Amino acid sequence: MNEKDFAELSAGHALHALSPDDERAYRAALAEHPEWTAVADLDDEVAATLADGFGEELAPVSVRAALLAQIAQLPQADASAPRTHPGVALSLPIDVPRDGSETDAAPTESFDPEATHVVDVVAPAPAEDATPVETEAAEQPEPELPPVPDVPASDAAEAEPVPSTAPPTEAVQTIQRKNWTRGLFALVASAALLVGIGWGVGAITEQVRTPVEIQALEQIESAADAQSVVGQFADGGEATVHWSATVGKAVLTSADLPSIDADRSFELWYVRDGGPVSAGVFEPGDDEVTALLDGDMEVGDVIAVTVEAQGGSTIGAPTTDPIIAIETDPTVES
Amino acid sequence: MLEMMVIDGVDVPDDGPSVDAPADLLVRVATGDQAAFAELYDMLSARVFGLIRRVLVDPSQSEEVLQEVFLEVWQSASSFAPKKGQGRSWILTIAHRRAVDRVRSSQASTDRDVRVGARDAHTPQEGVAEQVEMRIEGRRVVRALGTLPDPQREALTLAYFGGYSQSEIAALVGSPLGTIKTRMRDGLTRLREEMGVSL
Repeated sequence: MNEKDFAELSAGHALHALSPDDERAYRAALAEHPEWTAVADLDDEVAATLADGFGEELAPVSVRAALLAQIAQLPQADASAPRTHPGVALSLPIDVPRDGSETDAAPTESFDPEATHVVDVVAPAPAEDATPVETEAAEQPEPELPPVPDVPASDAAEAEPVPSTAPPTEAVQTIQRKNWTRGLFALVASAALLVGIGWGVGAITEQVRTPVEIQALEQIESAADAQSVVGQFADGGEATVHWSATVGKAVLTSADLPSIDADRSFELWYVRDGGPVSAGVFEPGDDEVTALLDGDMEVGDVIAVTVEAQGGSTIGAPTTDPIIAIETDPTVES
Repeated sequence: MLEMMVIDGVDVPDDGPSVDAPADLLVRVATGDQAAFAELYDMLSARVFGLIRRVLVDPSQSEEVLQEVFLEVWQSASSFAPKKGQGRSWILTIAHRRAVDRVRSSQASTDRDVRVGARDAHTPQEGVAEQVEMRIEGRRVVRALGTLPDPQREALTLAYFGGYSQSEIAALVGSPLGTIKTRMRDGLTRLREEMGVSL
């Protein structure tokens, strides 16, 4: 390709009018001829002057609040500046940058055994050309309630207090709940799932929980419509959801739950279209944990576990990312 | 007395050295400065949202794309280089690209014709360019586009303001793809002179 051919592609690219094939040719040409970047930059600049032709429109306040809450937890590319607020990549329903910029969210903090727990959250399946964003063993910061927009970003080294516009908390919470749910489904899609029908009692060892949970588990396993699904934690550990529609109960078992602080509890959630619904709170156990879920499970529910303050979340929604999400019906579209 | 222009709510002295407030903010955003991000958002979100809304039409999708745009701004701020262009342009380029990508990915092209048809209601194909053109605001942009020969203005307008691809434009105006490509190239070059853009 010569520079004149490239100039033609550059105009089309700047106006975002290229076909996918031409877009690929454009990028390949730039990679091979970095000296043509000046042509590309100038065309991009010219095209951008047309933006004034669109006129302005005030954006809903809820978007601003959601953004400020999200960026407080998102890593940035080339985070070489010291950051005292280690980010955990949320599984947000957004595309990673497609313009070839690297989003290498390397861990900026070493693992701190004093931290509440280690959370690995895998980002959703990347867009076509993007590099996947993955956070390794990032610390979970002292959880702030994400929906509250005027929580100061006090840990950022150079930040001034974020100006708050105080939109209604309920509105922000609704968005947070939806975003959390959608991010969760992305998490589930990227996790390995195993489906099994039935579960032998002999496979459960060293029960140390109260009889109520054990009874429920035995009832489920004796039922003709017993089902179970195994989900994985990011580090490869497993948890299993057991349920029976006729018994009307669901139980979660795991020997691989992470250690958490004494002032924290695990909380279970039924995650469905309207958002997460609490399924009760349980405390860590010695070995295998058996937890009976409160309330009724519905077809297509994703069972999630989060780490909350002792006694569970007080806002009726998770305040942290799930440490595991288990899809009980992989055929249901999420 | 200094003549003051106001651009995006920031007073810009007419005869002083050009200030690029968004660029300064982007440099700070790249270090994780959340207050700078909020300032940048407040400065440009109305311009960005206006762009997205007019390309996408659908209000809730537009809100999603607005969020995606500023999240990309947050995550990739370090790839903005002040020497290579204005901060405002960098952000508006992301906005336009994402809006157009969303339009193209959310529907097959036939559906999109229906949707655009609803927006440019009851418009014969030959009239689409005129309809799109009529919605362009901003004296400077309208005047600059007006200096272009009709075919070039048409290609630029359909691409940038209509969000059409080159092959869609070729179909709309009934010209070969190669001709559309040439018109876009020549039109953009001409526009650069009219708008006085340099890096």
